[in-house]
Amino acid sequence: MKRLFIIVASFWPAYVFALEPLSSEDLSAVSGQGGVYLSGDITINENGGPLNVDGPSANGYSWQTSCTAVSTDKRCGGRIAVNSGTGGGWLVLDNIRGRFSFEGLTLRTRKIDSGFTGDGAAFNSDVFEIGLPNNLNYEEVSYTIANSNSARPTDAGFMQTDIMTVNINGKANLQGNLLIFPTGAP
Amino acid sequence: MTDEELGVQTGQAFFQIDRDTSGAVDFTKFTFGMDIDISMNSDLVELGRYDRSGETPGSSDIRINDFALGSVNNDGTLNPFHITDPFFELAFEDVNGKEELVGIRLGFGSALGKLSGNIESLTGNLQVEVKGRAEPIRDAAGWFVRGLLGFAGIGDNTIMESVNPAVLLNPSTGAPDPIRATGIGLANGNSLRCVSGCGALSGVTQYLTASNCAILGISTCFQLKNFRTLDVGKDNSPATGMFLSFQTRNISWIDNGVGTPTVPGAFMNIPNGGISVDFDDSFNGIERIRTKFLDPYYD
Amino acid sequence: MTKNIRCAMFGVVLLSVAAQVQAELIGLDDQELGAVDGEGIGFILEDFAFEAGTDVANGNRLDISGIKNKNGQDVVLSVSQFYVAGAGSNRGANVIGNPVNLGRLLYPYNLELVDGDTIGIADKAVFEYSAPQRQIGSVSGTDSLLVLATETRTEQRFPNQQQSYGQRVDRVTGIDTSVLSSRAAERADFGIRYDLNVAGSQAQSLEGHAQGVAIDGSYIRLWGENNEMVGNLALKVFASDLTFYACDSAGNNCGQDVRFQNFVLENELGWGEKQPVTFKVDSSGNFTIEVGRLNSACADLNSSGGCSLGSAGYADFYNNGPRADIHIGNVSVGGSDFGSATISNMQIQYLRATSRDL
Repeated sequence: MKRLFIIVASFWPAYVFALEPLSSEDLSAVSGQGGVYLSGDITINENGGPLNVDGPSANGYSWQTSCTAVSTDKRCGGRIAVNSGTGGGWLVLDNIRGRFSFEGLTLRTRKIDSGFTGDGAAFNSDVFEIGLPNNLNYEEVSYTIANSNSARPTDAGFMQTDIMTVNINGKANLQGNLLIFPTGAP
Repeated sequence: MTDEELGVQTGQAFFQIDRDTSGAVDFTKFTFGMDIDISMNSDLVELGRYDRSGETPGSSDIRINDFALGSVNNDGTLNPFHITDPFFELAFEDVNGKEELVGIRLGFGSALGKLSGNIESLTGNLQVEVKGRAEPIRDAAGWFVRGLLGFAGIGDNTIMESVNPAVLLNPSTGAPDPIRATGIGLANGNSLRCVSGCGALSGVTQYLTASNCAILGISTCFQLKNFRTLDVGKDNSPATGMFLSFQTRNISWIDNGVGTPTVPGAFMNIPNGGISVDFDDSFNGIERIRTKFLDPYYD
Repeated sequence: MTKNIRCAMFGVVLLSVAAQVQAELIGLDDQELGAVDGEGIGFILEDFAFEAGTDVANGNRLDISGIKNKNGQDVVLSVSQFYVAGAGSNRGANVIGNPVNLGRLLYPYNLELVDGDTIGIADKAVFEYSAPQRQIGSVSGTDSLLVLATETRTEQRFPNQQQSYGQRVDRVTGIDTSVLSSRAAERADFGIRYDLNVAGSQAQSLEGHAQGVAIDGSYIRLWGENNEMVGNLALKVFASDLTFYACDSAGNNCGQDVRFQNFVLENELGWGEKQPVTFKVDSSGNFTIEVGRLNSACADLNSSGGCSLGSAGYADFYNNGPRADIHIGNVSVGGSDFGSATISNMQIQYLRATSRDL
């Protein structure tokens, strides 16, 4: 089995790019060899992100701050803001921090023509299988779900409603495969 | 901007969890800071359909047919029901060293608007202030009683009220009945008093108490289902303490330090002072308001 | 293109799903719409089980914080177990090694760009994420799990006034699980145990366990309207058994079960483009969820605000529009039964819920 280790130790957007090099060509090539074995390690602002290093310091207020792993300072985490409509406010995942890793996510294609309590034979087709890792490891992962009137906390008149903060540490156990396949008219 | 100011700006919270204790019962309350406008209709709201000792087989703790919140105005616009700060609360009790979940309730910080439905049976607390012109009382009275009322100085325009609010009761005996009630009215022992426009002797009415659903032969008990639309809140100010609960034993739910006792099963509380009717309404019932654009009660 | 490569491409699409979050759902033009041909991506979870928050003693933690009480003290919900497993999970004791299939190859979870014309949203491409579809029930005769008995109601709105006449729901007489595509082996056990911590001290422990859960028939549909994202959604949940019980602050001395049997929630919000559901955040940072006010479908009004002309649109809404039904077959506590609870054929004409600072 071809092994592909992807270690990412950067902030959030890098996560998406890190998985990008697997083009459909690559995947079709490796599927013939039995699939892909992936491990991942994502660290987001574990010790503070770029905003608090280079952040603005106008109006007598400094956005710059010193962030340690245990700091709950809202300036320390990453932030994703999504606008739900022109002129409207923003749905926010704020103060995203921590380290998330897994080992043993597998990718392969598979033909199913039996099993699944009778569905397999009727289905008789290929699926793309993502074998889930046995564990997801979290190290002081946290994020806040919020709504805000502006994309950035440094914007003028910034207001935000924090709904809740989720903190995860330790191990989540899982098993199984995610099967993906085309549906509808062929 | 200082750190404190930043804290204020991002500190808006709409979700709150509170723990309270009253006697042997602990409460955990989940409150959502929300303003809600709703206009809805439902064929049936029925809670607690099981056979209960002393009650009609097949009946329910609460059953309201053609339930609706809000109304449709004459100009074809909607007049929604207003709710603020809905909450969900759990009650726990230590029973012989075991932590028991003994009750759940869904409540509203405040409620204002039209609640419609044919109330077939209601377990709970529905207290209605009865106050208004005495004319309907005089109309309902026989000639002899009308003469007595006239002698006491109570004319058509005299304003009277019940000493205690009307409550859920047995519509044939006048005994208070908070369980699967089908009637509402002046419970035995309640009486009327004169508020304004009173004659010299009108104070005498408070010695005339309700007994077996009547005062001087004037009926004082009514079918609950004739009250087809209830105005929750009074004079455009919202009612507090409206809730729907389920408990396995008698629990007193606490709001602002005041307890509302409940009985096992499903229970609906429509708070004191939340609803007011005049004597005309109490004798004839209340007309159901339009709740749909295409409403079988109107179209 | 071979199926293998197509499958692989779908995989890549999934992996880059994070990048799609900001994609605007704007209307496609007619030509593009012609290309929307009902192809989608199906998902199922095979032999799946999941467990988080366990082993608190060894530093594992799954906390929900940022919540205050009325005195401004911090309140933390500490989840000590959250699990998804197959039947027989024994309240979370048997999770890993006891998996379940979520979705079927023939009835999967489905992600699809749908031609809006087929679902009452004219000239729009609609993004739809749906759970396994439902079937027409052999007993219920609809795609609802509830077997309903109706009654003829003739009641007046007031003495000497119009008498209402019509068939309305009287009660639920049964549960028709033939509506579900997910067979018994494809219905999951879910559960959560949490501890409530107030101002740093443990206050209460509560557990909730659900068995035989299926969300068949649920969907979320999103499309763009006037540069705004609007949607319709349906949440349909069946659980053959829901159990709740409390324990003391140390998680011991648990009380008796409060048990809901045959829990059914069938809730549809929004009705195509005639009643869109919107979610907005305003300039104060508060959010608003709105189920659109039904726009006037009447050509002419009568004196009480009803239709004197052109009521067909409303008739369609009241007969075929979105509805909600909630039913619990029986509530029992210890050895006592408290019977069924039903809210049936609830239709929302308007709903607006805005958050505010407590």
